[in-house]
Amino acid sequence: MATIVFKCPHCGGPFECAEGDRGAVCRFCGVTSVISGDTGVHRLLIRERIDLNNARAAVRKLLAAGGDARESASYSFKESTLIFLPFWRVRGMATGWQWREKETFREEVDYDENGTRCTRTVKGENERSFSLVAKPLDFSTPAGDYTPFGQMRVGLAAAVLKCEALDYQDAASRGIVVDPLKGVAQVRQEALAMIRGGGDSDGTIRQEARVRISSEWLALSYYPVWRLLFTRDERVYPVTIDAVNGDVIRCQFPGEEQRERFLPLALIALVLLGWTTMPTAGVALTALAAYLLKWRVGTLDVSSIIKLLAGTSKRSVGVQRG
Amino acid sequence: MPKGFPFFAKELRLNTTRCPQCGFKAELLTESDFHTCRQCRTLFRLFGGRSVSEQYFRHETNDALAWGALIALLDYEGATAPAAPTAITFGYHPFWFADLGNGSTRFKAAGSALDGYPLPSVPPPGDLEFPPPSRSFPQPTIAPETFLTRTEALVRLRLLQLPLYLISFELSGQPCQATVSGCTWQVYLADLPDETGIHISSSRLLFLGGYVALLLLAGTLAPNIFWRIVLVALILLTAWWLERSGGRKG
Repeated sequence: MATIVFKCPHCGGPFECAEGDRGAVCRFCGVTSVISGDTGVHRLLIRERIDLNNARAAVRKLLAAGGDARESASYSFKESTLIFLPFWRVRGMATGWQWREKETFREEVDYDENGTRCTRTVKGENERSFSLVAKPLDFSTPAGDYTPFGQMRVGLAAAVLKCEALDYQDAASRGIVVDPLKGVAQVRQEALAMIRGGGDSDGTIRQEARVRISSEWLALSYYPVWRLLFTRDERVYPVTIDAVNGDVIRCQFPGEEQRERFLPLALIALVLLGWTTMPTAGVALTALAAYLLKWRVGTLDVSSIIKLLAGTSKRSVGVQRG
Repeated sequence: MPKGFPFFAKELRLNTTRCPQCGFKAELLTESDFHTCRQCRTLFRLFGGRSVSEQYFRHETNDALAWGALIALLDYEGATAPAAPTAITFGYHPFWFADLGNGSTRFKAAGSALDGYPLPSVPPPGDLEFPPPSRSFPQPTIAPETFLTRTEALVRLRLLQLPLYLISFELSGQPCQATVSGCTWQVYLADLPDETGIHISSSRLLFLGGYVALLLLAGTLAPNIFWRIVLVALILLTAWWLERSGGRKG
């Protein structure tokens, strides 16, 4: 919801204003209010560079590269949605202090009664360190769980690509603008955890830190992805494509079905041909069929023979991303 | 100061709140947990003195797509036996979603209709909307007190209505249950049963039966070995062609 609801300072009625507006008129009392302050969250949009045709072409190209052309053509395109996924971005200075206690080990060389040299590890005194923290912070994290869309890292993209202020109506007319489900408090916690967890943490047994973010700048960057649905034999395969660079972020297409089609039919024909001709031929051709079966399948196990006749198939590893 | 002052103060705080939809100041004139905003006529509830917002994900029902997403995942998981749907039920199901003051969140199903079905552990991504007054959704049967204590600092409590397909199906002759999200077509699936035995479809049995019958007929009716071989070869090639074309269509 990019529409912001304010309370009119004059009549108390709610009125809406679009993000970025500096003034708004109350529809109840008609009083114009000036919107000021910088405590809000910037909402920025990265515009899509890949259109639907190019997104579909990227999937076809990936399928063709992963299998034979006939297999990739068997998938039919069903529907598409452009989705704007919000990512939190926090910038500022992380300042505070950090105390850490580490256990240390040293190697001692010793000689036994036979004069053989041996080395043993001995625990040394714990090492305590206190440090002041003053680091520039630039942290980005998804504003929700985007597992169904695959793993995305847009921190760098949001820093490099051109962003524009989110025009909700415009974006919503082109696709789905996803609402952030992660709150600001959680984002700050994650950013601070990254600062605290950085550095050498080997052997740390205790640590204490008080770190705060100063000069904080918060933004929600909306990153565009295409969500396409492909179908084959009633099955549905969702695909996520990066709408900025055209990379396929997530897909799970099955591999080609591997099934013996000719062998079971040929073996049945061979056996029946023999037994309908004469018993001696029947025995001979059954033995030949058993030999062929052993050569091809590797076993004369009854369940393997039934599986072969039943046409049970195995799938090779297909095209997968994410 | 009267002895019961803290309790009295708590009651006083409950007298006013804000509508979760329009932000309008709402005066609570009754002790009920359900109130109607005078401005936008939205029905909202209270929990711990805070108004609870109800939001939903817009979705158009398509049972075929939900089933297709499930069987595609079964293929991926390596199930070789065919799955047969027993029941596909679409519906909106209420979930509590709480933002706590320490930055963490909690997510819990608020309806008992989902018992036995695998459920999402986090809210799915999507465009959340406030339900219009004309539309009603199933109400929660599990109170937020079951997973929240009043002492926890609660920033925001939301009732999310998730579009879910509850699918009962049979795999290897055993009943299974799966849930498919209408927001992302993500499939939530419990452990698949171990496939025991060999499953031969009826169409395969029919095909093999017809093939054997034709071979036997050709073998017994052919006047000599030459014609027998020719007929058997013809039947074999025809059956192979049918097998290939049938396999390509799935």
